[in-house]
Amino acid sequence: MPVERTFIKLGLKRVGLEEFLAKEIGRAGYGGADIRRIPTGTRVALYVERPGMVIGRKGKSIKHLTDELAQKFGLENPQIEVVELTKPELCAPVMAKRIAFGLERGISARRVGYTAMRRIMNAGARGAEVVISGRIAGERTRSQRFYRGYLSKAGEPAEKLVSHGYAVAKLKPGVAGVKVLIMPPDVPLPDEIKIAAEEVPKPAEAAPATVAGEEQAEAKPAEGEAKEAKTEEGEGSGDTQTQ
Amino acid sequence: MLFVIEHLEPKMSEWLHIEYSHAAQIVGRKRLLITNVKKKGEFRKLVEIARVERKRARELFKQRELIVLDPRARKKLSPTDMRGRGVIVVGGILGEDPPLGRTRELLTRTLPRAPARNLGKEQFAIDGATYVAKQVLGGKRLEEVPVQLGLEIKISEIHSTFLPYAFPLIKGKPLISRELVAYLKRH
Repeated sequence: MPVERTFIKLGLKRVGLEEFLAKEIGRAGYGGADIRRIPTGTRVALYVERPGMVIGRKGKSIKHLTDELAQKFGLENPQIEVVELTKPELCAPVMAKRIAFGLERGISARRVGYTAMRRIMNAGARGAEVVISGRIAGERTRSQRFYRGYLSKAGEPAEKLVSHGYAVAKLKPGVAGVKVLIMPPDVPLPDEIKIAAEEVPKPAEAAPATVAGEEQAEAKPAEGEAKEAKTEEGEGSGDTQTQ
Repeated sequence: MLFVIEHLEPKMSEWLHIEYSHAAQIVGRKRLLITNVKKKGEFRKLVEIARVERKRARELFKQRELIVLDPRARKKLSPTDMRGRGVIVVGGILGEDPPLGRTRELLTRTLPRAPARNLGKEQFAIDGATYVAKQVLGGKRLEEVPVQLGLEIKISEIHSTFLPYAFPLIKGKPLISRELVAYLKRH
């Protein structure tokens, strides 16, 4: 099989897995997964709002999920780790789902958009964008865009640092798409350069050295004076000896 | 020359009313006929802006007199298309993005003997399509009518609305009614 096909197959498998997880644990506030190969198998970290719903009573749900991941997607010894999202407002998939849910409940797109933006920015995000598109009020298709703060739109930061979320709201006039982009507060941007402060010797070590030096400087003339006195004495004594 | 808008939406929303009204302003009240208006309330509202008929275009005119504007038509509209014809029919539809081809289903198929023409690849609003058709039938080629794709209307500092349609340009500015801009800012 050509190499390209292998990568396409892996990509499709990953997308299928993402879709499966979003469907299976969507009610628990699914906010993404991190899948990594480890020597003992596959580590699957699930970021969710409510970990209890993923784990289930006596771990029943998580066991079922582990079995399904192994059977359906052929993951080798999957080890599921459930991570609670401390700030779900900074997780784009969670916010997209919340907005879609709000629209389905009949709240106006404008109100939902403003509320979501306020929550995201209050949680400390650098910037965010919410786009709601479709037949929102049963009229012409249009896109409502809410934008605030700083958000990378291109290049590596846009791919790696920005949280992307997408959800679908099923409304009476048709389907509306919700797209959310969030730039978290603590991401290191490549154009932000920090200049390290110059190392200054610690005052606790430097102080005794200067005091000692001063003492030496002060002591030296005293010694000189003593030497001078000695020589004077010597000279005097010499004089006396010669005399 | 008579411009006909065949009302095809199940409900007449405020947006649709604004577009019809703007189309009437573009071509003149006497030269615009809105057909297929069955509901009494809608009829009363529309009579104030244009001529209105309860019947459909196919019942009012002979098909050889008509030209239908349909985005999925094979040929482009040209100034010579109106030779021997006096009526151009525009679909009264609030479009989708991407277009679903409702004009073909609801209008063109009901008029099989009337030639269908498009206004390019992009989708226009009802008033925009009426303006472009008027320009072309006035002697301009379709390529000579400047068009802008998409229009973003700023509502507040953080909020804007994007309309994914083609808008004809007049002196470099997109053709959109003030009422529609005010409506979008309000809703």
